[in-house]
Amino acid sequence: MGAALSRLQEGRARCCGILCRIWLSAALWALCVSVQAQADVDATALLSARPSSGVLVLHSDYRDHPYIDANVLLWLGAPMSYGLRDRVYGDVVTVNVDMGDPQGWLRGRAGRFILATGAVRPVHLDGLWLRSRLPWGARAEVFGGVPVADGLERRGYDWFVGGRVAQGVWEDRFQAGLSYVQQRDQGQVANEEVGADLRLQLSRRLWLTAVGAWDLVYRGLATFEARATWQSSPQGWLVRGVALRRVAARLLPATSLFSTISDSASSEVGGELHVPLFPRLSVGGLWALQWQDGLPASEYGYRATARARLRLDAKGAGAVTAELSRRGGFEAGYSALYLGVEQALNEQWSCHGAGELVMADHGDDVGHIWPWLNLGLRWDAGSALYMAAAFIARSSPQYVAEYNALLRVGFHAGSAP
Amino acid sequence: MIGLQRSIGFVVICAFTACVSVLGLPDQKAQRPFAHRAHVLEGIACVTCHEKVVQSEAATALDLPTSDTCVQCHSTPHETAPCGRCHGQERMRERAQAAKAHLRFSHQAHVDVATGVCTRCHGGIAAGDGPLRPTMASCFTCHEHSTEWTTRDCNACHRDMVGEQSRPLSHLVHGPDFMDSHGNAAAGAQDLCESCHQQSDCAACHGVRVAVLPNVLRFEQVNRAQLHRAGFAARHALEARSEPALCMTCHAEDSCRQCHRERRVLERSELEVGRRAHPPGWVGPRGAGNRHGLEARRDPMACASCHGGAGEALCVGCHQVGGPGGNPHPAGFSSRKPRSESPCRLCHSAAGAWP
Repeated sequence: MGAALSRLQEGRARCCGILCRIWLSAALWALCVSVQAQADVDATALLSARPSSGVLVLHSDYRDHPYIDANVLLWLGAPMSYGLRDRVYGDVVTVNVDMGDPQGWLRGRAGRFILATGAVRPVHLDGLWLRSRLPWGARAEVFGGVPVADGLERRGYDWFVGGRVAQGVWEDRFQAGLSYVQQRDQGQVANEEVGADLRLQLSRRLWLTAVGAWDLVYRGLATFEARATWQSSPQGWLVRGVALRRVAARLLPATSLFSTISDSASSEVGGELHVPLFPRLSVGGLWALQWQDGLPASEYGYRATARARLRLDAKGAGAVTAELSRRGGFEAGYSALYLGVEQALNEQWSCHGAGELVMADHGDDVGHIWPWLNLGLRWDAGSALYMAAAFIARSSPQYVAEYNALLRVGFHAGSAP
Repeated sequence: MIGLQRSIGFVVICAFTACVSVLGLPDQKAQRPFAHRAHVLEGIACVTCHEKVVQSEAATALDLPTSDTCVQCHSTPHETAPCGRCHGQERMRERAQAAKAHLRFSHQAHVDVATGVCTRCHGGIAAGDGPLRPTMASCFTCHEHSTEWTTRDCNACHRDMVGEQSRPLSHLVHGPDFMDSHGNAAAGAQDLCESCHQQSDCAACHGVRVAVLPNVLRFEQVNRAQLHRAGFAARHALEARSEPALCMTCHAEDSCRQCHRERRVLERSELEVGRRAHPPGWVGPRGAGNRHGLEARRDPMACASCHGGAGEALCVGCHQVGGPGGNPHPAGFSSRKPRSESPCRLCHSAAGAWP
C-alpha cells in the first residue's frame, strides 16, 4: 500500500514536472506571439532596499477577441512578500489560452488560471474550463484540474472538479446559477459543496446579488453573501446594503474540528454610501456590524470608514483622499486617519504622498500609535517606459522605526495605450 | 460689530470663491457650452461649421471649427482671443477626442443612412446646449448588436476596452469600495468581467504564489483602494482578531506562524517581552474559568496558526466521550464524512470505539 502510494506520488511529481515545462514553453511562446502580433508585453522590475531584494514581473497577453486570448504572468527574482521560502526564485502565476467561437456557444480555457464562478470560491488551478451557451439563455460550465500550491516543487495534489449551470431571463436581468464542486485528497473526498448564485436587476438603478454554498460533507451552510445596490444615476449616489456569513470551518478545512465541536461562523450586516457632492468632491463610507456564533450577545464587532476624495483637476490627474476608519469589538480595536495625495507636476513627472496614523485601543507594551508615511515620485517617458520611486517609513508593534526605499521600472510594448 | 460681520462676510465670500474652483463647480462665465441650439434655430446646417465631417472616418482628426470658421459669419468678433476659449468647453472637446480614439466609428458611413439629419443621433440638441455626443443607447436604436451583446464582444465598436477604462455602469458599478463586493458581483457575470479584465488581474491577488501584491507593486497609487496598505503590518493582528475568518478567505492556517517565524516575531516577543502564548487558567475543567473554547470561537485563526493540522488531535484529547470535554458534537450534528478520515478517525476508529 505504502509503495503504491509512493509510486502514485512519484507519478504525480513527474506529471507536475512535465506540466511545468509545458507552462514555461507556453509562456515563452505567448511572449513571442505577443511581440510578433504587436500585442501587449509588460515588464516591471521592483527593487527594495530593505530587505534588499528585487523582482521582475513579466506580463503578456494576446487578445483576438472572441477567438483567442492568451495570458501570461510570471515573476523572477528574490521574493518580496514574507512567507515565501528563500529557495524560490520564480513562478508562473498564470499561463492560459482561451479559445472560443465568435457566437460564444463554446469557450474553453486551458493552463494555469484563477477559477471563479458562481458560488465557487476563487481557486488557483492547473486544468481545464469549458463554458457553453445553451438555448433560451442557459449556460453550462465544467472545470477540473489540480489546485496550485506552493510553487514548482514536488507535492501531492488534490483533484478539483465541478460545474455550474445558469439560467438568464429578461436579457440577463435575472440570472440564477447552481454550482457543484468536489475536492479530493489521496482519493478521498476532502470538500464537497453545492452553491447557488443570483443576480437580479429590479430596475435600471436597483439590483440584487447573492451567493450561498452548502457544505455536503458537514451538512451545513458554508457561506452566504447578499448585496442590494441602488444608484441614482451612472455617476450619482450609490447606496448598498450587505449581509454575509462566513463559516471558519469551511475556510479552514485543516482545522475542521471547529465544525465538529460547533460552527464558529461570523456574520455581518452593513452598508455602503457614495455621494458625489460636487464635480470634483465625493464623500462616502461604509459601516458593518459583526457577531459570532458561540459568543455572548454582548460581544460584537464593528467597523466604519468615512472617506472624502477631492480631485485636483478636471482630468483626475491629481487627487486628495482623506479617510477616517474605526474598527472595534471582540476585545480588539483601533482608529486610523489616512491622507493620500497624488499630483501631476507636468506631463512627465508626478508626485505622491500618503500617511496614516493608527491608534490602537490596547497597545500594551508595544505602544499605542503606529504611523507610516509613503513619499515618492513618478516619471513617465512617453507611453512605453516609466519609473517610480518611494521612501516608506513606518512604526509597528514589531519595529519602533522601519525604513524602506522602493524603485520600480516599467516597460510596456504593445497596441494598448 | 459691523466690522466683524463684514469680516465674516468677506471670509465667506472668499471661501465660496475658493470652493467654486477647488470643488470643480462650473464657472459659467469662463466657459459655456457652445450655442449649438441657437445656430440650428437660425437655420444653419451642421456641415456649415463642421465642413469635413461627412468625410470623417475613424482615423481622421476631430472636425471642430476654428476661429476662422466663425469669422466667416461673425465678421467682427468682440475679442481677439480664439473663439473656442469661451464658446465651448474644453472638457467636452477632450471627451469627444477620447471617444474618437477609443471607438470604431465613421461619420462617413453614417451620413447616408441618416440622410444628412444629424439630429437623428445628436438628439440632445433639442434639449439645449449640453453634451451632444450620442449615448450608447442611441446607437442601439439602429444597431441591435444582439449577438455581440450576448457574447460580450464589445470590440465591434470599442477599439480597446481595457485602455478605454470604461465601466459597464448600467450593470456593474465599480464604486470606491468595490474591492469588498467584486466577488459577489462577478459570481454570475464572469463573462462580463472578462470583457475588460484578464486572468492576470484576478491572479494578482488570488494567485497562490504571487511575488508582490498590487499594493506593493503600485505603491504610488495612494488614492486607490488597496488590499493591504503600507501600514497594514502594524494593525493586522487587530484586524484578524476583530474580524475572524476574513483572513482565512485568502491565507492558509499556517501563514501567521510561517511569516512570524521568518521575521522572528515569535522569538522576539517570547524572549524580550516574556509573553506566554496562553494566560493562566486557559484550560481547565468545565465551569472553572475555562476560556479556551470561547477564545477559539472568537479567533479560530489564532488557534490554527499554531495548532493547525495537529489541532484535531490536541482538541480530541479532551473533547471525546468520557473525556473532560465531553462529546464534541453539538446537538443535531450530521456528517457524510467517512469515519476513516481526519478528524473523525481520531475517535471513530476502525474497531468502532464509537459507532
